[in-house]
Amino acid sequence: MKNLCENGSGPTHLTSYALGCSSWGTSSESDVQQSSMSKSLSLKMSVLPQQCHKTKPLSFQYQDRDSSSTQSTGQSYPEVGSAQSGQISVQCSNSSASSTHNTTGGKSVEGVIGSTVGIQDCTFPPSQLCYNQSLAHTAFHFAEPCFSGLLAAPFVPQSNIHHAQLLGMTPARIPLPLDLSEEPMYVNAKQYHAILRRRQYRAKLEAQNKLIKERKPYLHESRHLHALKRARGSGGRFLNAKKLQELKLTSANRGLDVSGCTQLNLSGNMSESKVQAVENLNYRNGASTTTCSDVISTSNSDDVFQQHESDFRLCGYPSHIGRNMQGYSADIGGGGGGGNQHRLSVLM
Amino acid sequence: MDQDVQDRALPIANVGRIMKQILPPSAKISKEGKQLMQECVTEFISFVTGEASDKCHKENRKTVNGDDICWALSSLGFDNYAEAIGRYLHIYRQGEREKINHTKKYENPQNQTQINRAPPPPLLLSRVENPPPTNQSG
Repeated sequence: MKNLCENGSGPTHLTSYALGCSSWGTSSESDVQQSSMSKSLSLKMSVLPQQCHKTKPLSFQYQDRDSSSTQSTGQSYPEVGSAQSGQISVQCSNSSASSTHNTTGGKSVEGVIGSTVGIQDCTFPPSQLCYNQSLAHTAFHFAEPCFSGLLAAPFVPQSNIHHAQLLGMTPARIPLPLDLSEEPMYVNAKQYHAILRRRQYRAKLEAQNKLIKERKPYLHESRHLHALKRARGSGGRFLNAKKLQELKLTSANRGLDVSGCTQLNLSGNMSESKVQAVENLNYRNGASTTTCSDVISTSNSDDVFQQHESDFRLCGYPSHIGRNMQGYSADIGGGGGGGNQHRLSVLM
Repeated sequence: MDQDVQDRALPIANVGRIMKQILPPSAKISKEGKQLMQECVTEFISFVTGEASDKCHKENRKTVNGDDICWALSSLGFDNYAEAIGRYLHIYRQGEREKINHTKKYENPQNQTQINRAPPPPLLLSRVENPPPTNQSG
Protein backbone atom coordinates (compact mmCIF):
# COMPACT_ATOMS: atom_id res chain seq x y z
CA MET A 1 0.00 0.00 0.00
CA LYS A 2 2.79 2.42 0.87
CA ASN A 3 4.53 1.62 -2.38
CA LEU A 4 1.42 2.61 -4.30
CA CYS A 5 1.36 5.92 -2.45
CA GLU A 6 5.03 6.37 -3.25
CA ASN A 7 4.42 5.72 -6.92
CA GLY A 8 1.57 8.19 -6.92
CA SER A 9 3.41 11.01 -5.20
CA GLY A 10 6.78 10.67 -6.93
CA PRO A 11 5.94 11.93 -10.43
CA THR A 12 3.59 14.52 -8.98
CA HIS A 13 6.33 16.18 -6.98
CA LEU A 14 8.76 16.10 -9.85
CA THR A 15 6.20 17.50 -12.24
CA SER A 16 5.48 20.31 -9.83
CA TYR A 17 9.15 21.14 -9.53
CA ALA A 18 9.54 20.99 -13.29
CA LEU A 19 6.79 23.58 -13.56
CA GLY A 20 8.88 25.83 -11.37
CA CYS A 21 11.10 26.48 -14.37
CA SER A 22 8.30 27.94 -16.48
CA SER A 23 9.01 31.43 -15.19
CA TRP A 24 12.36 31.28 -16.98
CA GLY A 25 11.00 30.42 -20.40
CA THR A 26 7.40 31.62 -20.61
CA SER A 27 6.94 35.07 -19.16
CA SER A 28 3.48 35.60 -20.66
CA GLU A 29 1.81 32.53 -19.21
CA SER A 30 -1.74 33.25 -18.14
CA ASP A 31 -3.37 31.71 -15.09
CA VAL A 32 -6.89 31.12 -16.36
CA GLN A 33 -7.58 29.25 -19.59
CA GLN A 34 -10.88 29.56 -21.41
CA SER A 35 -11.45 26.04 -22.69
CA SER A 36 -10.16 22.61 -21.76
CA MET A 37 -8.56 22.13 -25.18
CA SER A 38 -6.42 25.23 -24.81
CA LYS A 39 -5.64 24.17 -21.26
CA SER A 40 -4.24 20.82 -22.26
CA LEU A 41 -2.36 22.27 -25.24
CA SER A 42 -0.84 25.05 -23.17
CA LEU A 43 0.21 22.70 -20.39
CA LYS A 44 1.68 20.11 -22.73
CA MET A 45 3.57 22.68 -24.76
CA SER A 46 5.06 24.21 -21.65
CA VAL A 47 6.31 20.88 -20.29
CA LEU A 48 9.35 20.55 -22.55
CA PRO A 49 11.02 23.94 -21.92
CA GLN A 50 10.31 23.60 -18.22
CA GLN A 51 12.05 20.29 -17.82
CA CYS A 52 15.15 21.61 -19.53
CA HIS A 53 15.93 23.47 -16.32
CA LYS A 54 14.56 21.12 -13.70
CA THR A 55 17.91 19.57 -12.81
CA LYS A 56 19.79 22.79 -12.13
CA PRO A 57 18.43 23.69 -8.65
CA LEU A 58 18.49 20.04 -7.73
CA SER A 59 22.19 19.83 -8.42
CA PHE A 60 22.63 23.12 -6.59
CA GLN A 61 20.99 21.66 -3.51
CA TYR A 62 22.82 18.39 -3.72
CA GLN A 63 26.20 20.06 -4.07
CA ASP A 64 25.73 22.04 -0.89
CA ARG A 65 24.22 19.21 1.07
CA ASP A 66 26.62 16.53 -0.04
CA SER A 67 29.80 18.49 0.61
CA SER A 68 28.67 19.91 3.91
CA SER A 69 27.33 16.63 5.23
CA THR A 70 30.45 14.72 4.21
CA GLN A 71 32.81 17.17 5.88
CA SER A 72 30.87 17.75 9.07
CA THR A 73 29.07 14.54 10.03
CA GLY A 74 30.54 11.93 7.71
CA GLN A 75 27.17 10.91 6.35
CA SER A 76 27.04 9.67 2.79
CA TYR A 77 23.31 9.46 2.03
CA PRO A 78 20.50 12.02 2.08
CA GLU A 79 17.47 11.11 4.12
CA VAL A 80 13.72 11.57 3.93
CA GLY A 81 11.76 13.10 6.77
CA SER A 82 10.53 16.28 8.39
CA ALA A 83 11.01 15.72 12.14
CA GLN A 84 12.78 18.21 14.36
CA SER A 85 15.00 17.98 17.40
CA GLY A 86 14.09 19.92 20.52
CA GLN A 87 16.64 22.64 21.12
CA ILE A 88 17.66 23.16 17.52
CA SER A 89 14.07 23.61 16.42
CA VAL A 90 13.56 26.31 19.04
CA GLN A 91 16.63 28.16 17.85
CA CYS A 92 15.58 27.83 14.23
CA SER A 93 12.11 29.06 15.05
CA ASN A 94 13.45 32.29 16.52
CA SER A 95 15.71 33.01 13.58
CA SER A 96 13.04 32.06 11.07
CA ALA A 97 10.55 34.35 12.81
CA SER A 98 12.97 37.26 12.59
CA SER A 99 13.59 36.58 8.92
CA THR A 100 9.85 36.43 8.31
CA HIS A 101 9.49 39.82 9.95
CA ASN A 102 12.19 41.20 7.68
CA THR A 103 10.49 39.91 4.56
CA THR A 104 7.17 41.46 5.52
CA GLY A 105 8.75 44.84 6.27
CA GLY A 106 8.34 46.32 2.80
CA LYS A 107 8.31 45.67 -0.91
CA SER A 108 11.81 47.06 -1.38
CA VAL A 109 13.18 44.35 0.89
CA GLU A 110 11.35 41.73 -1.13
CA GLY A 111 12.90 43.11 -4.30
CA VAL A 112 16.32 42.82 -2.72
CA ILE A 113 15.65 39.19 -1.87
CA GLY A 114 14.64 38.58 -5.48
CA SER A 115 17.91 40.01 -6.70
CA THR A 116 19.71 37.80 -4.19
CA VAL A 117 18.20 34.77 -5.88
CA GLY A 118 19.45 36.09 -9.20
CA ILE A 119 22.98 36.43 -7.89
CA GLN A 120 23.02 32.87 -6.61
CA ASP A 121 21.75 31.40 -9.86
CA CYS A 122 24.58 33.03 -11.79
CA THR A 123 27.24 31.13 -9.91
CA PHE A 124 26.11 27.68 -11.12
CA PRO A 125 26.60 26.47 -14.69
CA PRO A 126 23.62 25.05 -16.60
CA SER A 127 23.02 21.33 -16.47
CA GLN A 128 24.55 19.02 -19.05
CA LEU A 129 21.17 17.49 -19.72
CA CYS A 130 19.88 20.60 -21.53
CA TYR A 131 19.98 20.91 -25.31
CA ASN A 132 22.08 23.46 -27.16
CA GLN A 133 19.11 25.79 -27.54
CA SER A 134 18.34 25.38 -23.88
CA LEU A 135 21.92 26.27 -23.02
CA ALA A 136 21.73 29.49 -25.01
CA HIS A 137 18.32 30.22 -23.54
CA THR A 138 19.53 29.58 -20.01
CA ALA A 139 22.64 31.70 -20.49
CA PHE A 140 20.48 34.59 -21.67
CA HIS A 141 18.35 34.37 -18.54
CA PHE A 142 21.42 34.09 -16.33
CA ALA A 143 22.78 37.36 -17.70
CA GLU A 144 19.71 39.37 -16.81
CA PRO A 145 19.60 38.42 -13.09
CA CYS A 146 23.33 39.18 -12.89
CA PHE A 147 22.73 42.70 -14.13
CA SER A 148 19.81 43.39 -11.79
CA GLY A 149 21.71 41.74 -8.96
CA LEU A 150 24.67 44.04 -9.40
CA LEU A 151 22.44 47.09 -9.36
CA ALA A 152 20.77 45.99 -6.13
CA ALA A 153 24.01 44.94 -4.44
CA PRO A 154 24.20 47.84 -1.93
CA PHE A 155 20.82 46.87 -0.45
CA VAL A 156 21.59 43.19 0.12
CA PRO A 157 23.55 43.55 3.41
CA GLN A 158 20.52 44.92 5.22
CA SER A 159 18.64 41.63 5.18
CA ASN A 160 21.73 39.61 6.12
CA ILE A 161 23.08 41.65 9.03
CA HIS A 162 21.22 39.51 11.54
CA HIS A 163 22.80 36.26 10.35
CA ALA A 164 26.54 36.78 9.96
CA GLN A 165 29.29 39.31 9.51
CA LEU A 166 29.87 39.98 5.84
CA LEU A 167 33.25 39.35 4.26
CA GLY A 168 34.70 40.22 0.90
CA MET A 169 32.83 37.30 -0.63
CA THR A 170 29.47 37.49 -2.39
CA PRO A 171 27.15 39.50 -0.11
CA ALA A 172 24.32 36.99 -0.50
CA ARG A 173 26.27 34.18 1.15
CA ILE A 174 27.03 33.58 4.79
CA PRO A 175 29.63 31.09 6.08
CA LEU A 176 28.25 27.74 7.18
CA PRO A 177 30.01 26.42 10.29
CA LEU A 178 31.80 23.11 9.87
CA ASP A 179 33.01 20.74 12.56
CA LEU A 180 36.26 20.24 10.69
CA SER A 181 38.79 23.05 10.63
CA GLU A 182 38.56 23.56 6.89
CA GLU A 183 37.65 26.45 4.68
CA PRO A 184 34.08 27.60 5.40
CA MET A 185 31.38 26.93 2.81
CA TYR A 186 29.07 29.77 1.84
CA VAL A 187 25.38 29.03 1.35
CA ASN A 188 22.19 30.95 0.67
CA ALA A 189 21.24 32.95 3.75
CA LYS A 190 17.63 31.84 3.44
CA GLN A 191 18.58 28.19 3.52
CA TYR A 192 21.02 28.43 6.43
CA HIS A 193 18.70 27.26 9.18
CA ALA A 194 17.00 24.67 7.01
CA ILE A 195 20.38 23.12 6.22
CA LEU A 196 21.28 22.98 9.90
CA ARG A 197 17.93 21.37 10.68
CA ARG A 198 18.44 18.74 7.99
CA ARG A 199 21.88 17.98 9.36
CA GLN A 200 20.49 17.39 12.82
CA TYR A 201 17.80 15.11 11.45
CA ARG A 202 20.28 13.08 9.40
CA ALA A 203 22.55 12.75 12.42
CA LYS A 204 19.60 11.41 14.41
CA LEU A 205 18.77 8.89 11.70
CA GLU A 206 22.39 7.80 11.56
CA ALA A 207 22.36 7.24 15.30
CA GLN A 208 19.29 5.04 14.85
CA ASN A 209 20.95 3.24 11.94
CA LYS A 210 18.16 4.01 9.49
CA LEU A 211 20.08 5.47 6.58
CA ILE A 212 19.48 4.17 3.07
CA LYS A 213 21.53 1.06 2.40
CA GLU A 214 22.35 -0.90 -0.71
CA ARG A 215 19.23 -2.58 -2.02
CA LYS A 216 19.15 -6.36 -1.62
CA PRO A 217 19.10 -8.22 -4.95
CA TYR A 218 16.10 -10.25 -3.78
CA LEU A 219 13.80 -10.39 -0.76
CA HIS A 220 12.83 -14.07 -0.57
CA GLU A 221 15.28 -16.94 -0.88
CA SER A 222 12.69 -19.43 -2.14
CA ARG A 223 11.53 -17.14 -4.92
CA HIS A 224 15.13 -16.51 -5.90
CA LEU A 225 15.79 -20.25 -6.21
CA HIS A 226 12.61 -20.72 -8.23
CA ALA A 227 13.73 -18.04 -10.67
CA LEU A 228 17.07 -19.79 -11.07
CA LYS A 229 15.32 -23.02 -12.02
CA ARG A 230 13.04 -21.53 -14.66
CA ALA A 231 13.85 -22.09 -18.33
CA ARG A 232 15.38 -19.10 -20.08
CA GLY A 233 15.59 -18.30 -23.78
CA SER A 234 18.12 -16.32 -25.76
CA GLY A 235 18.87 -13.05 -24.04
CA GLY A 236 18.16 -14.49 -20.62
CA ARG A 237 14.41 -13.90 -20.45
CA PHE A 238 12.03 -16.49 -19.07
CA LEU A 239 10.19 -18.75 -21.49
CA ASN A 240 6.42 -19.08 -21.21
CA ALA A 241 4.48 -22.26 -21.97
CA LYS A 242 3.76 -21.23 -25.57
CA LYS A 243 7.39 -20.66 -26.44
CA LEU A 244 8.35 -23.97 -24.86
CA GLN A 245 5.96 -25.78 -27.23
CA GLU A 246 7.41 -23.97 -30.23
CA LEU A 247 10.92 -24.79 -29.10
CA LYS A 248 10.13 -28.52 -28.86
CA LEU A 249 8.72 -28.54 -32.40
CA THR A 250 11.87 -26.83 -33.63
CA SER A 251 14.07 -29.38 -31.90
CA ALA A 252 12.07 -32.26 -33.45
CA ASN A 253 12.76 -30.90 -36.94
CA ARG A 254 16.47 -30.72 -36.22
CA GLY A 255 17.07 -34.34 -35.24
CA LEU A 256 20.66 -34.52 -36.44
CA ASP A 257 21.66 -31.35 -34.64
CA VAL A 258 20.00 -32.51 -31.46
CA SER A 259 21.78 -35.85 -31.54
CA GLY A 260 25.11 -34.10 -32.06
CA CYS A 261 24.57 -31.89 -29.03
CA THR A 262 23.48 -34.89 -27.03
CA GLN A 263 26.74 -36.64 -27.77
CA LEU A 264 28.76 -33.71 -26.50
CA ASN A 265 26.71 -33.48 -23.33
CA LEU A 266 26.94 -37.21 -22.69
CA SER A 267 30.71 -37.18 -22.97
CA GLY A 268 31.09 -34.36 -20.44
CA ASN A 269 30.29 -34.04 -16.75
CA MET A 270 26.87 -32.60 -16.01
CA SER A 271 26.71 -29.90 -13.36
CA GLU A 272 24.07 -29.86 -10.66
CA SER A 273 22.21 -26.95 -12.21
CA LYS A 274 21.83 -28.89 -15.46
CA VAL A 275 20.42 -31.84 -13.55
CA GLN A 276 17.85 -29.53 -11.98
CA ALA A 277 17.04 -28.12 -15.40
CA VAL A 278 16.51 -31.64 -16.75
CA GLU A 279 14.16 -32.46 -13.88
CA ASN A 280 12.24 -29.28 -14.51
CA LEU A 281 11.93 -30.07 -18.20
CA ASN A 282 10.70 -33.58 -17.36
CA TYR A 283 7.83 -32.01 -15.49
CA ARG A 284 7.08 -29.51 -18.24
CA ASN A 285 7.33 -31.92 -21.19
CA GLY A 286 5.19 -34.73 -19.78
CA ALA A 287 2.43 -34.20 -22.34
CA SER A 288 4.51 -34.56 -25.48
CA THR A 289 6.05 -38.03 -25.39
CA THR A 290 4.45 -39.05 -28.70
CA THR A 291 7.16 -37.25 -30.69
CA CYS A 292 10.05 -39.20 -29.15
CA SER A 293 9.98 -42.01 -31.71
CA ASP A 294 10.69 -39.56 -34.54
CA VAL A 295 13.75 -38.21 -32.80
CA ILE A 296 15.14 -41.65 -32.05
CA SER A 297 14.48 -42.91 -35.54
CA THR A 298 16.56 -40.09 -37.00
CA SER A 299 19.37 -40.31 -34.44
CA ASN A 300 22.68 -41.90 -35.35
CA SER A 301 25.27 -42.80 -32.75
CA ASP A 302 28.10 -42.52 -35.25
CA ASP A 303 27.64 -38.75 -35.71
CA VAL A 304 30.64 -36.64 -34.81
CA PHE A 305 30.12 -33.25 -33.22
CA GLN A 306 31.54 -30.76 -35.72
CA GLN A 307 29.42 -27.66 -35.21
CA HIS A 308 31.11 -24.46 -34.18
CA GLU A 309 30.57 -22.75 -30.85
CA SER A 310 27.70 -20.47 -31.83
CA ASP A 311 25.62 -23.37 -33.16
CA PHE A 312 26.28 -25.27 -29.98
CA ARG A 313 25.00 -22.33 -27.96
CA LEU A 314 21.90 -22.10 -30.10
CA CYS A 315 21.02 -25.77 -29.64
CA GLY A 316 22.37 -26.11 -26.11
CA TYR A 317 18.84 -25.87 -24.78
CA PRO A 318 17.10 -28.25 -27.24
CA SER A 319 19.60 -30.96 -26.32
CA HIS A 320 17.90 -31.25 -22.95
CA ILE A 321 14.56 -31.86 -24.63
CA GLY A 322 16.09 -34.49 -26.90
CA ARG A 323 17.63 -36.35 -23.99
CA ASN A 324 14.36 -36.37 -22.09
CA MET A 325 12.45 -37.69 -25.08
CA GLN A 326 14.89 -40.54 -25.59
CA GLY A 327 14.64 -41.43 -21.93
CA TYR A 328 10.87 -41.72 -22.14
CA SER A 329 11.04 -43.84 -25.26
CA ALA A 330 13.45 -46.23 -23.56
CA ASP A 331 11.03 -46.62 -20.69
CA ILE A 332 8.15 -47.36 -23.02
CA GLY A 333 10.09 -49.80 -25.19
CA GLY A 334 11.43 -51.76 -22.25
CA GLY A 335 14.91 -52.09 -23.72
CA GLY A 336 16.56 -52.07 -27.12
CA GLY A 337 19.94 -51.40 -28.61
CA GLY A 338 23.13 -50.64 -26.73
CA GLY A 339 22.75 -46.91 -27.43
CA ASN A 340 19.41 -46.69 -25.68
CA GLN A 341 20.73 -48.56 -22.68
CA HIS A 342 23.66 -46.16 -22.47
CA ARG A 343 21.39 -43.10 -22.46
CA LEU A 344 19.11 -44.57 -19.85
CA SER A 345 22.03 -45.16 -17.51
CA VAL A 346 23.04 -41.51 -17.86
CA LEU A 347 19.59 -40.34 -16.81
CA MET A 348 19.66 -42.50 -13.65
CA MET B 1 13.54 -2.96 8.49
CA ASP B 2 13.96 -3.32 4.72
CA GLN B 3 10.55 -1.76 4.16
CA ASP B 4 11.52 1.32 6.17
CA VAL B 5 14.68 1.79 4.14
CA GLN B 6 12.95 1.51 0.78
CA ASP B 7 10.09 3.79 1.78
CA ARG B 8 12.54 6.60 2.44
CA ALA B 9 13.44 7.01 -1.23
CA LEU B 10 11.37 7.60 -4.34
CA PRO B 11 10.97 4.62 -6.67
CA ILE B 12 13.96 4.66 -8.99
CA ALA B 13 11.89 3.54 -12.00
CA ASN B 14 9.69 6.62 -11.76
CA VAL B 15 12.73 8.87 -11.42
CA GLY B 16 14.27 7.36 -14.53
CA ARG B 17 11.02 7.70 -16.45
CA ILE B 18 10.77 11.40 -15.65
CA MET B 19 14.40 11.93 -16.58
CA LYS B 20 13.70 10.28 -19.93
CA GLN B 21 10.90 12.72 -20.74
CA ILE B 22 13.35 15.50 -21.50
CA LEU B 23 15.86 13.42 -23.45
CA PRO B 24 15.69 12.34 -27.11
CA PRO B 25 14.28 8.85 -27.72
CA SER B 26 17.69 7.32 -28.44
CA ALA B 27 19.29 8.59 -25.22
CA LYS B 28 20.08 6.25 -22.34
CA ILE B 29 20.57 6.92 -18.63
CA SER B 30 22.98 4.88 -16.56
CA LYS B 31 21.82 3.24 -13.38
CA GLU B 32 24.34 5.31 -11.44
CA GLY B 33 22.82 8.49 -12.85
CA LYS B 34 19.34 7.42 -11.83
CA GLN B 35 20.49 6.51 -8.33
CA LEU B 36 22.23 9.84 -7.84
CA MET B 37 19.18 11.74 -9.10
CA GLN B 38 17.02 9.65 -6.79
CA GLU B 39 19.07 10.79 -3.81
CA CYS B 40 19.06 14.42 -4.94
CA VAL B 41 15.31 14.50 -5.44
CA THR B 42 14.61 12.74 -2.16
CA GLU B 43 16.79 15.18 -0.25
CA PHE B 44 15.20 18.18 -1.98
CA ILE B 45 11.71 17.02 -1.05
CA SER B 46 12.81 16.55 2.55
CA PHE B 47 14.44 19.98 2.50
CA VAL B 48 11.32 21.81 1.32
CA THR B 49 8.88 19.73 3.36
CA GLY B 50 10.95 20.29 6.49
CA GLU B 51 10.66 24.04 6.03
CA ALA B 52 6.90 23.81 5.46
CA SER B 53 6.47 21.51 8.44
CA ASP B 54 8.42 23.87 10.64
CA LYS B 55 5.99 26.66 9.79
CA CYS B 56 2.97 24.45 10.48
CA HIS B 57 4.47 23.46 13.80
CA LYS B 58 4.83 27.07 14.84
CA GLU B 59 1.23 27.82 13.88
CA ASN B 60 -0.05 24.74 15.74
CA ARG B 61 -1.38 23.13 12.59
CA LYS B 62 -1.10 19.45 11.74
CA THR B 63 -1.69 19.41 7.98
CA VAL B 64 0.85 20.66 5.44
CA ASN B 65 -1.11 21.93 2.44
CA GLY B 66 -0.18 23.36 -0.94
CA ASP B 67 0.10 26.93 0.30
CA ASP B 68 2.65 25.85 2.87
CA ILE B 69 4.78 24.25 0.16
CA CYS B 70 4.63 27.44 -1.91
CA TRP B 71 5.62 29.50 1.12
CA ALA B 72 8.49 27.12 1.91
CA LEU B 73 9.87 27.36 -1.62
CA SER B 74 9.77 31.14 -1.42
CA SER B 75 11.31 31.13 2.03
CA LEU B 76 14.23 29.00 0.87
CA GLY B 77 14.99 31.26 -2.08
CA PHE B 78 13.27 29.31 -4.85
CA ASP B 79 11.05 32.22 -5.84
CA ASN B 80 10.71 31.11 -9.44
CA TYR B 81 9.45 27.73 -8.35
CA ALA B 82 7.08 29.29 -5.82
CA GLU B 83 5.44 31.49 -8.46
CA ALA B 84 4.94 28.66 -10.94
CA ILE B 85 3.68 26.27 -8.27
CA GLY B 86 1.26 28.92 -7.03
CA ARG B 87 -0.26 29.32 -10.49
CA TYR B 88 -0.45 25.57 -10.95
CA LEU B 89 -2.12 25.15 -7.56
CA HIS B 90 -4.71 27.73 -8.59
CA ILE B 91 -5.50 25.86 -11.81
CA TYR B 92 -5.66 22.59 -9.91
CA ARG B 93 -8.16 23.95 -7.40
CA GLN B 94 -10.31 25.35 -10.20
CA GLY B 95 -10.38 21.92 -11.80
CA GLU B 96 -11.41 20.34 -8.52
CA ARG B 97 -14.18 22.90 -8.04
CA GLU B 98 -15.54 22.29 -11.54
CA LYS B 99 -15.49 18.56 -10.90
CA ILE B 100 -17.60 18.99 -7.78
CA ASN B 101 -20.12 21.18 -9.61
CA HIS B 102 -20.29 18.65 -12.42
CA THR B 103 -21.17 15.94 -9.92
CA LYS B 104 -23.84 18.07 -8.25
CA LYS B 105 -25.64 18.74 -11.55
CA TYR B 106 -26.28 15.04 -12.08
CA GLU B 107 -27.33 14.43 -8.49
CA ASN B 108 -30.03 17.12 -8.69
CA PRO B 109 -32.51 16.38 -11.53
CA GLN B 110 -33.71 19.97 -11.79
CA ASN B 111 -30.23 21.17 -12.76
CA GLN B 112 -30.18 18.97 -15.83
CA THR B 113 -32.18 21.58 -17.72
CA GLN B 114 -29.11 23.81 -17.92
CA ILE B 115 -27.45 23.84 -21.32
CA ASN B 116 -23.82 24.54 -20.46
CA ARG B 117 -21.84 21.83 -18.67
CA ALA B 118 -18.58 22.19 -16.83
CA PRO B 119 -15.68 21.04 -19.04
CA PRO B 120 -13.63 18.19 -17.56
CA PRO B 121 -10.17 19.29 -16.37
CA PRO B 122 -7.17 18.26 -18.51
CA LEU B 123 -5.49 14.98 -17.67
CA LEU B 124 -2.22 16.73 -16.88
CA LEU B 125 -3.84 18.38 -13.87
CA SER B 126 -3.98 15.03 -12.13
CA ARG B 127 -0.21 15.18 -11.80
CA VAL B 128 -0.24 18.42 -9.81
CA GLU B 129 1.53 18.21 -6.51
CA ASN B 130 -0.88 17.26 -3.74
CA PRO B 131 1.14 17.27 -0.53
CA PRO B 132 0.26 14.44 1.85
CA PRO B 133 -0.87 15.39 5.37
CA THR B 134 1.97 15.41 7.87
CA ASN B 135 0.97 14.86 11.49
CA GLN B 136 3.15 16.56 14.04
CA SER B 137 3.82 14.62 17.22
CA GLY B 138 4.74 17.56 19.47
